[in-house]
Amino acid sequence: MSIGPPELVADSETAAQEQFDGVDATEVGAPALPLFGRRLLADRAAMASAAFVLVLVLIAIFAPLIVKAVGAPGPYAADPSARDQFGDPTGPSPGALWPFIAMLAGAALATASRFAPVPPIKRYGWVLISGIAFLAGVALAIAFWPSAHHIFGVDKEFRDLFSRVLYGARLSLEVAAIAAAASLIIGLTFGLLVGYFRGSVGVAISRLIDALFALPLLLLALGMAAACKLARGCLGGVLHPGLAVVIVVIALVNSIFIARVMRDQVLSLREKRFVETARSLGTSNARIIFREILPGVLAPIAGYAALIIAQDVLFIAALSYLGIGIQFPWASWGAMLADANPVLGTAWWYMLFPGAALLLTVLAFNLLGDGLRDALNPRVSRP
Amino acid sequence: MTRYVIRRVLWVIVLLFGVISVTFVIFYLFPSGDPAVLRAGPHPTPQLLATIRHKLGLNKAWYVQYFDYLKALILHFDFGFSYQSHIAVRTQIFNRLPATVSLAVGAAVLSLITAITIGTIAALRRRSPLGCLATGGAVVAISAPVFWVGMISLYLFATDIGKLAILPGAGSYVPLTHNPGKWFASLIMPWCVLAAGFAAASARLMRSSLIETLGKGYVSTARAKGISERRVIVRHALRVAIAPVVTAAGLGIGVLLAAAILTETAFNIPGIGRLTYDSIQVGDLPTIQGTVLLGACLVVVAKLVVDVVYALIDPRARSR
Repeated sequence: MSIGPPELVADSETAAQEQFDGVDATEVGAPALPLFGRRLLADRAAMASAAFVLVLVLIAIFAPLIVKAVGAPGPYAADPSARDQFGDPTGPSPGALWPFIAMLAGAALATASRFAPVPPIKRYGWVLISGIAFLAGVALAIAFWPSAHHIFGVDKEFRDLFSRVLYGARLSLEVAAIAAAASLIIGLTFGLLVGYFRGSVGVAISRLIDALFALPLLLLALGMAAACKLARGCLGGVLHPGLAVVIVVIALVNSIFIARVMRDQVLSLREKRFVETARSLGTSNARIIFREILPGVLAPIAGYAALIIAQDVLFIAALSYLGIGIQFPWASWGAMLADANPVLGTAWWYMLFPGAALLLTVLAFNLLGDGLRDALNPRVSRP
Repeated sequence: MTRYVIRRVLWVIVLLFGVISVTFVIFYLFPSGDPAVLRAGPHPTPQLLATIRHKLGLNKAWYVQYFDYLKALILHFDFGFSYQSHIAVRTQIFNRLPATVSLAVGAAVLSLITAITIGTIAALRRRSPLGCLATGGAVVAISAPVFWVGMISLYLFATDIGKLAILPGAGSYVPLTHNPGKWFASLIMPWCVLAAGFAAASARLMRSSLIETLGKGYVSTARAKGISERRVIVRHALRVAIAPVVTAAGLGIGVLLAAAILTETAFNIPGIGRLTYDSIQVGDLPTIQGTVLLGACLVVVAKLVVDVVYALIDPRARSR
């Protein structure tokens, strides 16, 4: 795992360079939308993860309804009757795993079919296999889940794990989306202004961004979250520990990374001929920024946003795992994993489901981000 | 070269100053509530609070406090005092440092070796199942939370709880000076877990870098001269393609340390990461402050070392 954006930045820097090096499509404007769509549609991994992200968002929105539909008792209610003969929390109901096994096997087979020696299977096999696997998964879920008492088992407080994992999706996406949006707005604004206006103030802020970027920001963010947690509040009580601190800390760290990437992109864009032309025609600065430069940086930012959400989800989980993120009783995946740590050997379900949900979420956003970036980058050719 | 080193060292001094200042803001100015109570532990006596206030100069203006803090740190290397465990934070951290250093350095070496191998294979066999497996596996490894991977591998392989009990599990760390064999065995799992994500990130970079290099003119020239393909790749392409990977790895040291905190927590390794975690659980602010400060400073200095070593190897880096 690499929590935190440096890898991301290094990656997107090369992407940005590729995008803006030499004669490229940005000289004549962003790649045409139909072309971008076609390239994205051809990227199966990106399409699959886009579908998964969509499902995830739906799950997050309708979590209470789904929990009710399968007859689970909700994420906060303890069910003391869920004990085995030793009085310990019970594990997943029999058959609870089958839908996942079916879908995973389907995904693996669909991927493997791309290398099948028979041409028709190689081209269209994955559609058939993934379709069958999906239907099988749904059928198995319908067969096993509604009759189960606690599908994923219960945690040490005898709360239903299935509901908690679903509510965890809700929380993770909410926090990550808010933090990502905030950091994008701050970072984009600073990056545009600092990159475009190269007066003494602009250069000074630019230097400051460089210096901040060179600091180990993740460690400092961790320290800030810890200080806020222990003090039960920050900045004279404006920030309460929990959600607010996590959002602010992540937004702060990310906006520095985004501002730096944006600045570098704007720096190279402002030297391009079309900007020079606009300037020589007497176009105002505001118009150049919004009409000439902003469209050029928005394209790479689309893929970047997905990658940032992935990093945010990971970082939120890491903070919660250390006990300085989202607080009890909120259902957060990281906190669940922290609770699962001492009982690893016996209560395996308690670690498996939140962790798998976390991995799949981050993976989907990463693949989607990679796909968007490649589709928008005219120099990457795909098979 | 000398000028380059001097320039880097000056920049690092600026950064260290930045780290110290940011930590001061985070731990002195941000938290609300009485700073003395925060540092005194769970059951403060009025005398203790008065001592802390006097010692840290909490009644004075913030810039006086900042100056005192700087003075203590730079002149006496004083990281504060943990009123929780009644021990100087500095002593506590330095006792724990060897474990963290062994974990982080081992993982860094392991991840670089793996990344270069896998990245090269993925670049040379781009369309083959092996290459695709490497590329796909890398995305999964990047997306996996390090502490969860740690928990899963403990569940599978640890001798105490594992299904396939082959490796020492959580809390089995032994210092190198006590028993090198046990030290090595206890760190195998944490090394692999911590290295996985970084190896994946670097392998992706290695792959794209090598693919780009293989398209360069001098590679075609080398091929046209009739040099064997193996020699073209090893002597001409790889040496150039590795450069951005090493640079990115140097930039990633901070993330490595942050991930080491999580790994140490999962594997219960008594390093500064576990110390941070334990201090968070018991509310020991001075110790957290010390670990964050020292960790951040270490990262800044480690980056300097990487930069200088890199400039020694590759003269082009000096002009940047």
